[in-house]
Formats: sequence, structure tokens, C-alpha cells
Amino acid sequence: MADRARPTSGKSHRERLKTRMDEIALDLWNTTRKSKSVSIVSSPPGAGKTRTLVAVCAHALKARKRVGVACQTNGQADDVCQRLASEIGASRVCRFIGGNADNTPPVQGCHVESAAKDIPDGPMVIVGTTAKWALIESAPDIDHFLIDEAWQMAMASFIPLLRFCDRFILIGDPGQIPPVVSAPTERWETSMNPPHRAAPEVLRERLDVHAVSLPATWRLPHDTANLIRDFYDFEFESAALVGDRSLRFSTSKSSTVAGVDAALDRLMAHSVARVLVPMPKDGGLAQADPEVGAAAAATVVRALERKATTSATDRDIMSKELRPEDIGVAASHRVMVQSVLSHLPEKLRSAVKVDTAERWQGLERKLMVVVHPLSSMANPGEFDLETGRLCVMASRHTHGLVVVGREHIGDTLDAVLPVAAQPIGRPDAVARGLRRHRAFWQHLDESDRNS
Amino acid sequence: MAAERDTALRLRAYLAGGPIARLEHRPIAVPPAKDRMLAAFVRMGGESSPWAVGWKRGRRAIEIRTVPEARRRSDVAVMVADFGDELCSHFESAEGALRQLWIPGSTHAEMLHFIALRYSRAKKADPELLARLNRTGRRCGQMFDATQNPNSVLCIDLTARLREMFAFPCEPVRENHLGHLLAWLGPDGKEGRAKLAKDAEVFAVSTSLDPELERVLAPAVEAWNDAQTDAARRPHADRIRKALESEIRRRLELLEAGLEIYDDAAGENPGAALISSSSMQELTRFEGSEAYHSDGGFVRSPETDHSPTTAAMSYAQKDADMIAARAALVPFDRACQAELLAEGNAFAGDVLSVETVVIGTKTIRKQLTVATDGALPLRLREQDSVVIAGDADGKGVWKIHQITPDPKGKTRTIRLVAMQANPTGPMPKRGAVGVVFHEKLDPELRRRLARMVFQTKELATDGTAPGAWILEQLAAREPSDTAPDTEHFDGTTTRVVQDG
Amino acid sequence: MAESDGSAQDTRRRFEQWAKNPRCAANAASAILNIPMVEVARAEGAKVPFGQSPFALARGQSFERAMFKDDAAVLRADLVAAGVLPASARGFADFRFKRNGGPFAKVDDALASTTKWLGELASGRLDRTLAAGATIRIPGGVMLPHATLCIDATAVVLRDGVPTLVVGEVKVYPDRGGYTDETQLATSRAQAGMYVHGLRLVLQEAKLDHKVAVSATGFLVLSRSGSNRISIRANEDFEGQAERARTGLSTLSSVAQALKLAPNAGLPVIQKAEVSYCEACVSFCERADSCRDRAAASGDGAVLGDEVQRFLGEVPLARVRQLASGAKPANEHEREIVRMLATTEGANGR
Repeated sequence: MADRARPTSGKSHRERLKTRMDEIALDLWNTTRKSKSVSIVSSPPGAGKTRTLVAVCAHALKARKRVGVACQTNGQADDVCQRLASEIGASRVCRFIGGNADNTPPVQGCHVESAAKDIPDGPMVIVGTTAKWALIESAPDIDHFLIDEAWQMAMASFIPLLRFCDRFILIGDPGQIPPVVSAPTERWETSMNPPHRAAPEVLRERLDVHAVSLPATWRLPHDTANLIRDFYDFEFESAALVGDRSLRFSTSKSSTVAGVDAALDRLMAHSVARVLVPMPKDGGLAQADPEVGAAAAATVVRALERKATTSATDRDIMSKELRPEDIGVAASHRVMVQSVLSHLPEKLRSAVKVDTAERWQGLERKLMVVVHPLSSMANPGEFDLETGRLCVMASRHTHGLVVVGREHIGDTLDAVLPVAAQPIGRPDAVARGLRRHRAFWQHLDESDRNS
Repeated sequence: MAAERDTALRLRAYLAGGPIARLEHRPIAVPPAKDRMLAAFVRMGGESSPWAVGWKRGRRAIEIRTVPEARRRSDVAVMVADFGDELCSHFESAEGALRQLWIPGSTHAEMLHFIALRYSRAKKADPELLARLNRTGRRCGQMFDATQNPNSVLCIDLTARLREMFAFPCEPVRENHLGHLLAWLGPDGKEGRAKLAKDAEVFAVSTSLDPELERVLAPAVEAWNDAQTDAARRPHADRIRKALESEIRRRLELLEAGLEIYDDAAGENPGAALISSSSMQELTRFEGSEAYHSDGGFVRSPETDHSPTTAAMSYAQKDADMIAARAALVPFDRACQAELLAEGNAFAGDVLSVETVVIGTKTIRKQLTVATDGALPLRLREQDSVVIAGDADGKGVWKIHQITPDPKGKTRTIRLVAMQANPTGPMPKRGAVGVVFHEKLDPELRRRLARMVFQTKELATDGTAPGAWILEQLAAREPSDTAPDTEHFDGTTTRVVQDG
Repeated sequence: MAESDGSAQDTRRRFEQWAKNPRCAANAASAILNIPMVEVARAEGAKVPFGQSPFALARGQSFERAMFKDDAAVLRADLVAAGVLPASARGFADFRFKRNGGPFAKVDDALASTTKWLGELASGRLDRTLAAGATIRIPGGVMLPHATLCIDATAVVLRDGVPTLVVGEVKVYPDRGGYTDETQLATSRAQAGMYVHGLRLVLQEAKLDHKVAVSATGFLVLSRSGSNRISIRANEDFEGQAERARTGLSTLSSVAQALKLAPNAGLPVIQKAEVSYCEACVSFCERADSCRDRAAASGDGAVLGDEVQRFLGEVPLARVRQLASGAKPANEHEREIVRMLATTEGANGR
């Protein structure tokens, strides 16, 4: 078993990062306080978006201002209310709900109103969904507007908010899966103000915005931060340093699935490991690949059989037993999700969340097992090469990530000759996705070679 | 269309030896012949304007217009204006009836767009011709937009509608050829149809001509250009005209035959009437608008909307149209419901119980508990609103209260609570099997978004929207009018350089 | 658009032919041996339509000529309006061949003149900031000759003080905004990417790459519907396609070595090579019909399209028929096929 040295500078590293985040929140407040402005905050996964939002709201309330907050779903809005309440007190929080919605407060003491006229006067943070804010005829008076998960909001939904406020802060993760666009968009691909694209993207291109990025991921271990940095166009680090997070397993035993135990052993020194499933005997690849599903399930089973424990010294958590609820499995296709479920023992199916990447957004687990999106794809298309899914899947874990896939993936990536059929003026997302996929896979190759 | 469902249907068609229906009902109304106009175009290689155009209004004879030299822009303009007069007259004389334009396929829709791009905002021509061309361009733009909008039946791309209606046992790329599709739908036995379908591909149905034919015509075009007198030009013009007429006629006849096959393929979805109605409203709006009649005022660009509010409004409206079309058709067509199931925007289940429950302290509601197949996709989540398939008004709304997967992974149990005290719409009984619940398809939310964007624009203009400064800055950098019209319609003719 | 000599046209065309279906050994052999598939198809008795529209060819030539007339006055004005060139940019270098309206009769003269121009730029002389038909020669691989490329249009701008070449691809198809044909766009960008890659190689070889840069973004010159005017679309992203050209040419060379084809190998080698039919073949290969027939005979799911083939993998259609008729699935994949067919019906129960 590897025994890693306990870092001595972790605490000061995190203090520095917290100070930096406080500075960012203050800077955002100062920008929005002084004049009409649009600020855009880019965040890597698990970097404290909600913490930043709450901090800005706290500054605003101290200045006796009223703040509107738009979230993309009701669940997110309720979460934000809970976080706000613990920071600024529930009496200063109002959950702004739809006409037919359940009026149970998300946290005790929080106001709940559906009509703007009923919202109490005075300093207040009013939290509703983007849909609510965009569709109301009249809004409560507000001085500042914050938008959470802003990359999930299209420009068309942002524009109605301009009726209510002249200063905005948009916070979100640009690496996530873009929202599904169902209407055909050809008409607006060459528009100066494309209504279907993410609002922060359009605003950043068209206005002089105040742009900042959050400095670190607090969720991901340090080497995972290195792994996914290629998915972003800004720098960030990990709040966890080498040795802060660890997974320990009991003495290894041979596994019926080649490579699973070796991968778990690797997780004792690194946060990322890989299980390569040999090519099928008949050479053919098909999307419904039961052997890969079995390998992913076997990884979960072995991790529990080997009585894993986790520690997070940066979070002052020592030696907690890894439970089934601490493990998650992600895949890009439903067919693979079903395959994994069918190979998991029945008793684990309700405890271990197995789902597609879309459903994993906003969630985290200590150990994630991820089926590589290109596994079993001899001829990946544009959907497969899009990197949002891989980025989401590779950024849910706090301690360990195991990537499972067929051996061919590297060769398949090398052989791809991307087609640049994007609309006029748009970036070549397929080539960019391919570059990122290749970098991700090379990173795994290098890590295997160096271990 | 969900990819997996498409794969399955294609395999089923293969196993059946021929096309199988994707839909139970035809999703659009097909008015009587007198209210239909058919049109087809051909173009010279390398050009994006017509070399010939043909049409058939109602039961009248086919009319065809050609020009000997497609690169003489003035001649093409006159031809296009003649077509436009007929097209506009077809719709303007409707007297309340649903009128439609039918075209063979996507390249003909593309030609409508080319005409819109060229003439909607043209400025230089003889004034009388200019007015006709502007009107033609704008009407063709509307026709093109209609082919992109499932909630409009003003212009029908037959190839696209056949693809929507049937799964064919062939590669998707072959489904762009109308002749190929109609051969599959013909009466011959399955072996015969496969061969006929392959043979049909030899004859072009798109707006492009066979290069062999163009090689035959090229000397006639050269000779026409070189001729000095009308008398000298006439024989070459006749030769070109005959060849082009034959091409147009073939396309129109195929279109007409295909239209009959499509019309006979299935009964009309009762929801199609709603789509027809909204198309008529859209037509009335268009014909009354400044954008159609304008002399120098604002005319909507056929390419895009640069204004942030216009773009947002029309995008929200487009989204609303997509949802409205679905909402109209889904209640009456189990295949449409199957499509939603395949996407995960619906689930089918067996009703385990129907209960009355108390929500909160005193609200009384009906609750359904449904067992569904755990292996099928499900995008719907807790708190989402659904309706029971067949609820044409969509007013019997249920909220998903809880989704519980069974540990074996084979089923999931879904609890739904009615939004109203006395839910309207179908009410399944305990023990009912295969009841389909699908996402609430409500275009009104998107229409409302479009109205709120409009309100934002109004308030910004009034100076009462605090965020108006953002709109001003977004608008400030729009490109100047990029309409191409700084050349007169006399284009230059270029000699064809024959390759050896 | 126009290129210089047979080998030049061949190498780019042959690369693109191979890239459309790299899994087909016959396609690879045809590209490597430079035996066009149309010849193979004809030898097998297939009736093959040939050639392009003569009008389209003429249109392309006249379009280009009008654009470059009077020292490219029209193109320059529109490039300035599109923000590609600054208003102060001056000078025009014409490297086109005589048959395209330019001054050069011989490839080598155009090459030499272009090389001289690149040298001028490297020395800081920016008195010719727009070029037509810049002609470069890039080294070939083992089985492919060197390629001579003629770049439709090249603009020169200063970025951080460094003269930077901005590649432009000229196409006659119309600009329809977001509706512009995506296949045409992909083809144009592939060509432009090859030019970007080629320029980088040539500058590197001439040791000028630290003095002259090549921009990863360039421009497209399209037509306007029903008009003789041009439409410039700037800031087109060619980097991915340059990378595609780089890796693809290298891969094709490796494939050529692996196939061990004798340089004088003829048609029969292609006829004997394994074929791998896919949907893309319909649009570019004259043997598509016969390969499809073969695929149908062997039950390859590709005859129903790429998605079906991807789903079925190695399971032939005959086996699908057996499973649909009640045969017991042999493994989970076959069970998945059965499940999918069972849960998906056509609208009338078929």
C-alpha cells in the first residue's frame, strides 16, 4: 500500500484560495455597485459558484440592496435559498415561485411568494427560476441581478431580464453539456446576436464585460484538475494538494476482470485510473457492448469487496468507509447504462447511481466509474466527439475516477479525420473536441506509463 | 427522430421488404386540387437562379417559363416575376381556403430561398418589375420558411414529408431522391421495387441538370449568345426551351404522382386542422404586413435577424411552433407518442393504483401510481408536468411526484399527482395497461417569452427598461445592410469553356 | 479552385478521396496508385456518368476572373470591408496561370515567383499584401508525389509586427448564411486547411517560419444568390483542418507502406482489394452501386445506413431476420437487437 507524505502547506494553500475567492466576490460587488455592468464568472467544476453568488448577495444586503437571482431549475433555486439562508438569514430570502407551484419554503423562515407585489420591502434576495423571471409582466424592484448556471441559459431567455435591472452577474461552468436546442437554428447561426447560444458566450463576444474566473476546484483532486484543464480556456488549480485525498484498498486479490484490481491499486497513489478491455475476439465493435458494461460493474463491486476507505485531509475527513452510495457510474448512452445495471448485483442497483452524463450534472461522488464515450465506437461522429459529456463525467469525483473502455480508443482517435461542417463563422467544435479527446487519452496513457 | 427508433424502423422496413409507415396518420391537411399549386425549378450548373420554372395551379395545364441564357440576369428576373405573379395570386385569391404550394424536394426549397435572397430587397430595376420582384422574393421567402416549420403547411416539400411518413429500407442519403422513394411506394412486389428504386436514381429530380444534358445544351447556349439577330437566335432558343421543358415536366409529373400517393397513404390526423388554422393566421399576418408590401421600409432579411430582440422573438416563436405542431398531432397518433417514448419525453405504464390524497394540509388531489419499463429512456424528472396521451386539449395535467427504480432495474414506479381538483382529460382506471404519459406540450410558454422580449424592446425604446443600455450596445455593432443589390439586372454572359 | 499540374490536383484529390472512406482498402489502393475509381468501374462494365457541368466550370472561372480583375480591386475592397485587410493594405501579386487569367505559363515560374514573394514578406517588404494563386510545393510521402498547391487567395496582415498569411478559399456556391450547404463548407475548409498546412511546411523548409506566420483563421469567398457579387466570410477556423491535412497525409503514407503496393500495380489490384461500403460512398465513388450489391449479398447493415451498421456491428442482416423470427439470441448484443425490434413497431403494427 502506498503511504503518501502529508503535505504541510495545504492549509495555507486553501487559505490563499479562499482569500482569492473573497477578493473575487468583492471585486464583483464593487463592479456591479459602481455602475451599469455585465460581469461574467467562469467556473471549473466544484469551484464554489454558489459560494461566490452567496458572497455577492451578502455584500449587497449589507449595502441594503435588493438582489434578484435566476436559477435554471426549481431544485437549484431551492438549494440556493438554503445556502443563502445559512449565510444571511432566512428572513432576507424570498423564494419567487410559479403560480401553481408548491409553496412550501425550501428552508424554514424563508418567504415564498408568487406575485411580485407580495414580496416584502427592504433588502432582500429574491430567488426564482429563469423561466419565472423571463415570463412575468412585472417584477419586484431589484438593484442587482445574478444568474446561476448561466451557460445553461440561452440569450433569448436573458433578454426579458433587461426589463428589471441594469447590472448583471452571470456565473457558470462553460465546460458543461450545452442545453438541448430543439428548434432548428440555421436562421440565426450568422446572427450578430444568436438567440439560441449561451448568454455568457454572446455577451462576452459582443460587449465589454468584466470577466473573471474562479481559481480552483474544491471538489476534484489535484491530478484530475490537470486532466480536465484542457476542456477550459482559463487556468485553474485544485484546492486539494498531492496527498490530501486518498483511497485505500485492502490487499489486492486477482479479479476475474483483467485490470480492475490494477486500476484500483493505482487509485491509492493517483486520482485517475483506467481499465482497458481487450478487443472482442471477433474484432467487431457494437454500441451495446456488454463486456464493457461488465467491466464497469466489476470495478464497483471490487472497490466495495476490497473494503475501500477514503480520506480528505483538506476537508478534515479521515478514513471513512466507502459505501455503495459513495460510488457512481456514468456513461454517455442509455444502452450502456442499462448494461452496467444488468451486471451489478441487485442489492447495489438502488444504492449506486448509474446514469447518463446529462443526469450527473451538479452531482458528486467519492468514486466515479466512467465508461469512455468513445468506447466501442469504430467511427465516432460529431455527437460522440463533443466533450461536454466527458468533462461532466470526469469531474464528479472527489477521490477517484476509473475510466473504462475498449483498447481501440487511442487508435480510433488517431484515425479520425474530422469534418468541418459547422455553420459559417462558427468555431470548429469537432476538431476542438477531437484535440481535447486526444489530450485526455494521452494523459491517461502517460499516467499508465509512469506508474 | 430518436436515432435508435429510426434504426429499428429501418430494420423493420428491411424485414418487411419495403417501406413501413412511421406515422398512423398523415400529419398535414391536403386541400383539394383547386387549392394546390405545384412548382419545380431547374438551374444552370454553377448558378443559383432558375433556368426554367414550371407550375401547375389546380387542375389547369402545366405552365413553364424558360430563358435561353440563365446568366442574363434581366431575362431571369422577368421569368421569376412571372412565376411570382402566379404564386402570389394563388395565395391571395384563396378566399379563406387553405392554399398550398408543393415542391419536389429540398433543392427546390433552396431555390425559393435563393429567390428570396436575391429579390426581397432588390432596389434597382424598372419600377413595375421591381415591385413584382420584391413581392416575389418575399413570398418565396415565406414559402421557404414554411418548409422549415412543422407548424406550417403553406409550402410542402414532398420528399421530406414522405420521409416523415415512411421508413424506407435504404440508406438515409438515398431518401433525398423523390423518384427513389416513389418507386419503393409503388405497387410492384418487393424485388421489383428495389430495382425500380435504384433505376429511378438515374433521372435527376433536383434543380440540377445531368451534366451530360448540359454538355448537349452548351453549344446551343453559345450559339444563342453569338447570334446577332432574333431570327438567328430562335432555333437555339427553341432547342434549349424544349430540353428544359421536358426536364421541368418530368419533375412536375413525378411531384403530382407522389402527391396522390402521399394523400392516399393514410387518413389525416385530426390535429392537422390546428396546424392548418395557424398557417392561415400566419398567412393573413404576412399578407397584411409592411414586410410584404414595403416600398423602402423594413423588410425581414431572408438570411438572419441581427437585432437581439427580433432574433429572440422569432426564435421563441419558432420553438413555440415546434411544440404546437407536436401538441396538435401527438394526441391522435400512437406513432408520434412512440417517438416521444423513444426520446424519453414520455413513459408508458400500467396503472397500479388510483387514489385520493391530501397535499399539504387541505388540498385534495387524485394520485396515480404507475409501473413502467425501467430499461427505457426517461428524461422526465420529478416535478415535471405530463398529460395522458389522447388528451387533445392538454389540460389534464399531472405532476410527477416521485420516480422509484426497482432494485432489479427492470421496472420503475412513478407516482403522479393531478394539478387540478377535478382533472379533465382521460382518467385511467386501476389495472389499465400501456397508458402513455408525455411531457406537457405547451407552446404558450414560448409564445409568452416572445411577448416578453417584445415588451423588453418596447420598454427599451421608451427608455423605461433599465437594461436598455445592453440592447443598445448589442445593436450598435450590427453590420450594414448586406443586400447584394448594387448591380443592375443585366449580368455579363460568359462563354462556356469546353474541356477537351 | 484552379491548380497547376496533374500531380498537384492528384495529390489533394487523392487524399480527399481516401479520407471519405479510409476503411475501404480498394479506395485506399485507388488513391495510392492514382487509378481513379471511375476507370475501375468502367472496366467492370458499370455505366458511369462522367464529368462536371460545363457551365459550372465556366462560372467558376469567370467568378474568379471578375474578382481578380484590375489588381483584385473588387476582392480587396470587400476584404477591407470584412475586416480581413486594413484599409491601408496595398499591392497585388498575381501568380495564376495564363489559362486562369494570370501571367504564368509554367508551374516552375509561378513557384519561383511565389517563393520570391515569401522572401520579400520575410524581409519586411509589404508592398504586395494580396495574392492570387500563390503556388507552393510541399514534399510528398512514400507513395505520393510532391504536391503543388495553388492557393486561391492569400491576404497578408501584420500581427504583433509579424507578416501573417491569411488563407482564403474561393467557391462559387451561394452564401445563405446559416443555411449554406454544410457539405460545401466542409469541402472548402478541408482545402483551406491543406493550404495552411502546406504554407507552414514550405516556410519551415525555407527557414522563414520565424519571420512569416500563417494564420489559423482565414476567409471564404462565396457568391451571392443570383448575383455576380461576392460574399466574404472572415474568421473561418482552419486550424482543425490543417491538423487533419497533416495527420491525414501522414496516415495515408503509412497506409501506402502497409499495403505494399507495387508502384506499377494496375487495376486488378484494386478490383481484388477488400471493399468496405458505407453511406459516404454514394456521393463520391463510381463503384458504390456494385459495392452496395456486395454488401447487400453479405448482409452488411451498411446498406441501411451508417447508424444501422454502427448498431449491428458484425451481426449480419440475415441473422437479424432469424432473430426477428424467434431465433434464440446468442449473446447480450443479440438480446439487445431483439429487444429493440420488439419494442419498436411501425405505425400499422409492422
